[in-house]
Amino acid sequence: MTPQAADGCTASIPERHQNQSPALMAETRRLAMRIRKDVWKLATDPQDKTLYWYSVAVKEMQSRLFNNPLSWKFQAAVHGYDASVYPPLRPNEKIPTAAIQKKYWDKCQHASWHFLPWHRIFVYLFEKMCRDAISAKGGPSDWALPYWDYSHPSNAVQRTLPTVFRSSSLPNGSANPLYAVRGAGVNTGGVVGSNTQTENTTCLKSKAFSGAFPNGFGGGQSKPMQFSHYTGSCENSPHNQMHDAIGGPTGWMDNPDAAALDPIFWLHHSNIDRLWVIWLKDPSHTLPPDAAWNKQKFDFFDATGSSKSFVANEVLQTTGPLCDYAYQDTTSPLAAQPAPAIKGLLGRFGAPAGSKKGTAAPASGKGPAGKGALEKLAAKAMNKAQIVGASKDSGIELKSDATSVAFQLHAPAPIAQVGRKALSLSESASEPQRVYLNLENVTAQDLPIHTYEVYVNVPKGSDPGKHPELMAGLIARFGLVKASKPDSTHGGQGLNLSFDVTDIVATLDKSGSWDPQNIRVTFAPHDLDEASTLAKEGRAVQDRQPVKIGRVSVSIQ
Amino acid sequence: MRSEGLRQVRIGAQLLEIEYPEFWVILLCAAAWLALLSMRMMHGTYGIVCAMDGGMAGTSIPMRGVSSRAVALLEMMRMPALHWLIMIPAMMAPTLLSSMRVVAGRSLWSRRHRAMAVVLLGYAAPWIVFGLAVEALIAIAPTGIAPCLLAVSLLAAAVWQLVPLKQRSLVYCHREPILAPSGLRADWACLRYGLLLAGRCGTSCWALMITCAAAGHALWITVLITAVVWAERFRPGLPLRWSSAALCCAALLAWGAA
Repeated sequence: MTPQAADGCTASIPERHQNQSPALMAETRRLAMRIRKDVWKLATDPQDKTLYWYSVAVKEMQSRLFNNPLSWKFQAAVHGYDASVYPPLRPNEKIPTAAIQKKYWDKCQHASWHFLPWHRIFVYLFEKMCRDAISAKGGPSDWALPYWDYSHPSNAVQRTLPTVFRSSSLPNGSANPLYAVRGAGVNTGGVVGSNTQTENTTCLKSKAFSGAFPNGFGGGQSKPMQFSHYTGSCENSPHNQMHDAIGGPTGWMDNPDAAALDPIFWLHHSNIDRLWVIWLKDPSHTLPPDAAWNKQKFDFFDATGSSKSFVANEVLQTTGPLCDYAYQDTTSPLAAQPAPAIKGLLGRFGAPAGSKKGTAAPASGKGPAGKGALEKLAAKAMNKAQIVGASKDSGIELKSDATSVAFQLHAPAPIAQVGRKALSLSESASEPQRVYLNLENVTAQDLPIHTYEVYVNVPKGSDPGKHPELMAGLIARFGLVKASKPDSTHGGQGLNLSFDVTDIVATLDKSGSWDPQNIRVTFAPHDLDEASTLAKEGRAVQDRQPVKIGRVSVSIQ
Repeated sequence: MRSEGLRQVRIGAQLLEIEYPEFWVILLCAAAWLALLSMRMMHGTYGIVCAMDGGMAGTSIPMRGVSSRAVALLEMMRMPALHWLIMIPAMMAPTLLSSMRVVAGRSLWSRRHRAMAVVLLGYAAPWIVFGLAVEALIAIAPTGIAPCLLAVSLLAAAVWQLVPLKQRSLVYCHREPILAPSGLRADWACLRYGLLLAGRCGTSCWALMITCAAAGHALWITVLITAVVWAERFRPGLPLRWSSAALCCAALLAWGAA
């Protein structure tokens, strides 16, 4: 397969190539990129040694002592550290000083707009450490971290864990450095994750990078903290879902304070990073201009073991200025199916007060009414989301059977009209509207035994599982407990999730069963197999505190 | 031409209101600072200075059914209490901006200003009660301790900065509300959230605010305390020992002046 490099390649070109034709220059530039390849395509090529060299690098890093910043455990602790689940210290091994721990450990950024840039820096530095270890062992100089693209609804093999990660020992009897304890069936070749967990098209439909209800592709605005409040669509699914699916209730991958100990973690994040590249290929998608986002500094140890600060805007492209890689395949799975949206949605919620439906905005004939700041504000107003309904009772507890909450929607305010007036646009120029289901302040004091499927308006008495067309998404376990600890920097507020339910509303509307006065959201337990597995092993599953949801709301944009 | 200009201004104001629904909280803060400065220019200092100048004895006004001592206390508290009422929005309103934004974002569009106003009411009420109690205590304090009251309160504030409970309270200032969508339940939820915020912020900042009262709301101390409060809120990474050290220095200065 011919590698498909990402756009905007800016890698340095060796001097000997500088007098070549533009086409050859482009080709040279492309080849100068390291290509992150699909792990399953590598696994089926007997000639390819990428995974062999990965295991060599992992083994080398695992052999280093904990207080070495280039060691396996140190790198995992940068993401998160919980002494109770880390492998015990070796006889001559010392834990780094408290000052080092405070500055570099437990720094993974989740549930905020820093999630993607922080993880890109983190994974890239790890990849460089692997490269150096591989070079030192005589391996190839163009080695790149592969990615695991598990989002293939029809390709069951692609959705299983690559073979070399499964066995605890190698044929020669030595320990397999790529092995880790994982969820039920993962290490035995079972399909990992349900279609909903592996699904990656919903997040790619997100229009904005950041926001709150909807939370955008990349998450809500926040200062840097390990778990903030607003989980972006890409982070919720497939990122969190696959952490759950791979780790199960007992594996490292489902615990943010141990996840990076599992060698598959890095291939999973390589794939999440690839989704960011795919999302950005849509010309209508842009990154936040805010300095609070793109000038945010993060401290790491680089591949030479030196302390260094990295700024988010160094990694906004995989091809420079910091990074030097491209992905083998960045074809959007949405290419064949444009994002559906609903026009005239306001009418389906009842006539909004003060709106003049169908009347065109005054056409001054002078183009946009304002320039610069006013235009920006007008554009923001046209994309402004608003809450149109919410559950009345706070503290919805999710149990081991289906739980429902009902509420009604209110007429939305015609705020987009103000934006259209400012830009002297006619009514017909309005964007199709989208509907979001929001779960506010989802908390859990204990790791939930289930994840939960979220459905909208399942007919009463009907099994939610028989209505996949009404499923809005899944509540993941990953990070939920950590985000709910009252003594942590986030104040134990839990996570805010947002699901795009436009398709569901359209489906209900088409069948004549959309009633804004009667919205019913149902939460049905998922992963019952794992629950029964734990029960068979005699582990306590009954005493765990339930997942709680502060409020369920609906917003439109 | 003029009507087109007016139209643009009106649309611009509407757009600002859509994007920044919490704008009036900033206006409230600005108005409070203006009022503080005006009062300072018109009335100078009072509080401990007033106590040092002769205490209650010279200010009593006899009223039927009310003891002269109570009347004198009320009279003495009039200006400090007014200052306290203005000081709360001046110093605290900016720290509430992100919470107000969240409240507006989680309310139905038609209710968002009402929701913010009710939260503010819930937030202000405990602070007003606390402030009146503090001002009353300062007013009845023996004149002998007045000179060192400021230094002692600054020192207490410096120590409180280092107490773990203070740090935890700061974290809790970021709590998000869970609001019913409409009706009295929504108002009650907003009021409860305002009270919760006041409790968290009160636990975090009570010592700092007492210092302002002990200084007779002197401008320099109000500005210093405002800087500490805003730094804690907007630069959460700053170590509290820095502000503690600054307060210690201020305590030494106040001790020397006394």
